[in-house]
Amino acid sequence: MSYYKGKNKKTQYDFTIVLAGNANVGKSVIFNQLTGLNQIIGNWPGKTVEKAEGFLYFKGYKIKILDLPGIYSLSAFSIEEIIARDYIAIEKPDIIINVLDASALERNLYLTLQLFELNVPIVIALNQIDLASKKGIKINYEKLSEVLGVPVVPTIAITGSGIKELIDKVIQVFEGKIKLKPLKIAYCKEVEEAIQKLENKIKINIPELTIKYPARWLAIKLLEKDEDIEDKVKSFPNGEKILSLASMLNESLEEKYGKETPVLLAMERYGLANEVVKASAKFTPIPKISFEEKLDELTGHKILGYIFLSLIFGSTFIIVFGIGNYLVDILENFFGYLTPSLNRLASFIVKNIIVESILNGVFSGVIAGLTIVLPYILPFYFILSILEDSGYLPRAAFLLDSLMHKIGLHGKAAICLFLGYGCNVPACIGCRIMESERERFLGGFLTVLVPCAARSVVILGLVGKYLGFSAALSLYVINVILIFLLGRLGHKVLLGEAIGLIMEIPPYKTPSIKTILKKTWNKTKDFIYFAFPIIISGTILLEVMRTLNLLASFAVFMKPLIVDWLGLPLLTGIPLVLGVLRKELALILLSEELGTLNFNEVLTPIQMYTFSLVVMVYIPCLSTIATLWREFGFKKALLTSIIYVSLALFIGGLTYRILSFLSLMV
Amino acid sequence: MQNLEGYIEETCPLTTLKEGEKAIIVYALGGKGLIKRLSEMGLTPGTEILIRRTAPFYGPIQISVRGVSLALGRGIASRIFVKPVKG
Repeated sequence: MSYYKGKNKKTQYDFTIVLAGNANVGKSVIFNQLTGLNQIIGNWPGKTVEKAEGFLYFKGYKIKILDLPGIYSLSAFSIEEIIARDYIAIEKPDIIINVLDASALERNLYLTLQLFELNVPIVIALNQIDLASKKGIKINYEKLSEVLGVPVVPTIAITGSGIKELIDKVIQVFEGKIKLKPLKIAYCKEVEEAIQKLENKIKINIPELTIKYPARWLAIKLLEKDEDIEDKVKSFPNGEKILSLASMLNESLEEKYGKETPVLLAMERYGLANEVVKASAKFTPIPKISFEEKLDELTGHKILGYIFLSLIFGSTFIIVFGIGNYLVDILENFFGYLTPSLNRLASFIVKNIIVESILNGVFSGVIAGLTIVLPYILPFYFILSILEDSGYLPRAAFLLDSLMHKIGLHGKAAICLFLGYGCNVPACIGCRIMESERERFLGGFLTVLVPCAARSVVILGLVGKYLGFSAALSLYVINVILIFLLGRLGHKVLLGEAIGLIMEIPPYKTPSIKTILKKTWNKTKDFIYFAFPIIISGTILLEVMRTLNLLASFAVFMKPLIVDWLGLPLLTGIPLVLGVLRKELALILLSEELGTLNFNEVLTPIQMYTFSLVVMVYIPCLSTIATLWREFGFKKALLTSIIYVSLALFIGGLTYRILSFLSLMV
Repeated sequence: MQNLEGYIEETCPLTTLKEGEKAIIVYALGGKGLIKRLSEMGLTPGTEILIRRTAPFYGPIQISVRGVSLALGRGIASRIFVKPVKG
C-alpha cells in the first residue's frame, strides 16, 4: 500500500515528517541537518513545551518537518509524552523518523515497539553508530531492518553522515516503493486474550474514539491504567462499562502474575527489545579504557568530582574575567580615539540640539554596548556551549543532587541554575524538566536570581575591573548563599517533599568545534539583535531627558532611596531603574551620565560594590519577568519581582553600612 | 509489586550494594506512577544492573541498566529491592 495521501496537495507542503526518539539521541541535530535555517521554534498550543518546525526541499518535494519532544515511552507520564502520542495518533503524519541511539539500542527500541503499536509508517535513523563502536557494539543494520520490518539507516548526525540516505528512504516509503511490515508485538497468551476482549468491547461501544486511536492500542493503554486514556474513554456514555471490564481484567492478570499489569507489559516489551538486539547486534568488550571513561571516572568521583566541579566554575570565571578585561582595554583605546571625532561629525551635520543629543545617544549606546558588553559575553557563551555539548552538566547534577534536596529540588535543577549564568530566560524555561508544579516554580524562582551574562557584565566591568578579582568573586559567593537561603525558605513555604531524581547520564562526547562556534554565534547574535535596540533606546531616552532637564526632577524624587539608604550618588538612580530593561544597561547608562568609562573617577569602591550588588539581586530584566509570567502566571511573576526588589534594596543598604563601618575601622 | 513471599529472604535494597557489584531487580515499592516510570526506564523485575558509583552526602546512585547509565535519587533507590549476583 502507498502512504501517499493527496490531502496535503492543496496546502503549502507536500507531506509531513516527524522526528521521534529518546532524549540525548541526536534528534535535534538531525532536525537541524534536515531543515537548515528554515526553522520556527514555538510552543505547542496551550502547553509550555517547545515545538520546532521546519521545511526541507528535496527531489521536488516540499516537506514539513516537526521535531517532537524527547521521550522514553508513550505513556501519560509527562506532558511531553501525551503531546507526542496525540500528535502521532491524531494528526497522522505521513512518515515518522524514529531516531535511535545505537549505543543504547535496547532501551531505545522500547519506544520503537510502542510506535509500532500506533500503526504509523516508520523509518529508523540508527544514530551515533560511532559512539556505539567505541563501546564495542557492532550492529548489523540490515538484519535489524529485516527483524523490525522497516528501513534502518545508520547515521552520524554531527557529521551529517547518512542523512541523505535517510531522506532517500523516507521518500521511497512515501512514494510506496518500499513496503513496511512492522514487527507485530505479541504478548503472552493471557495478556493477548485480555487485549482481545477489551478491543472488541471498545470497537462496539466507542467507535468514535477508534477513529483517532487504534482500538488495540486503546486496549493496551487501558490495561496499563493510563489515566489520560481512561479519562477519554470515560467521556463516552458507554465508557464506564469498558473501564469496569478493564479493571476486572487487570485484577485477574495481576493475581495470576503477581505483578502490576503496567510492569508486566513493560517486561514483555523489553523482553522483545532484548531479542531484537540479540539478533542484530554483537558486543565485544573493549579492553582499553577510553579517554571518555577516564574523564567520567574523574568527574563523577566522590572527592575529585567536587574538586573538578569547583575548578570548572573557577576557571570559567577566571577565563571570562581575564579575556573580558583584556578585550575591554583594547576596545576602549580604539573607541577613545574614535568618539570625539564622531561627536564632532554629529554636531557638524545637524544643528538641532535634540537631534544631536539623540545621535550622540546612538553613538555612545553602540560603543558602550560593544566595549562593555561583548568582551564578557563572547567568551562566556563559548565556554557554556562546550559544557552543554560535552555532557558534563548531568554529572554536575549527579554530584549536587543531595545539596539540591536541601532546597526542595533535585539534581536536575542544578542544570537550570547553571544555565542561568548564561541567560535567565532559557534557564527559567528549562525548569520544565522538573517533574512537579511546585518544583518547577521553586526552580524558576531561584534561577532568576542567578547572575546572568548581562549582570556579570556589571559585576566584572565595574567591581572586577576596579576593585579586583576577589571582590567580584565575593559577589558571586554572596549570590550562591542568597540562592541557598531563599531556596530553604521557599522549600519551607511551598509545602511538600522534593521528588526523587531519575536521570539518564549520557556518555561524554567530544563537542565539534563547528557546532560550538555556531552555538556561540547564535547566542551572541540573539543578544545583539535583542539587546542593542534596547541599549540604544535607553541611551537616547537618557540623552533626551538630560537635554530637556528632566533628569534632576526624577533624581530628587529618588533621593531618599538612592542617596540616603544606598549611599550612592544621585545620578545612579536612573540607570538603576532603567536597568530593568536590560541589566547591563545600568552600567552603560551610568557611563553615559558620568560622561566617562573610568568609573573610579566618580564612584568610591564602596559605591561600586553596592551598585553592582543591587543590580545583581533586584528583579531581572523585562524579558525574564515576561518569561516568569508566561511560565507561572501573573501573580507569581509579580510576587517574585517584589521579593527581589525588596531584597536588593535591603541588602544594598545593609552592605553600604557594613562596608562604611569597616572602612572606618581600618 | 506484590508476590513478596519467597523473595523476601534473599533481597536487599539497592542502596546496600557497593560500587562495582551486580544485582538482579526483584521488585520495587512505591506508587503506581513511580513503579511504571521505573519499568519504562528499563528497571523491570529480572533485569541485571551494575552499581557504577554512589554520590556522597546521601546523594544519588548511578547504575548501568540495558546499556544506559542512570542516576537514581537515594530515596528511590532504597525502594528498589534486588538480589545480589555473586562473582
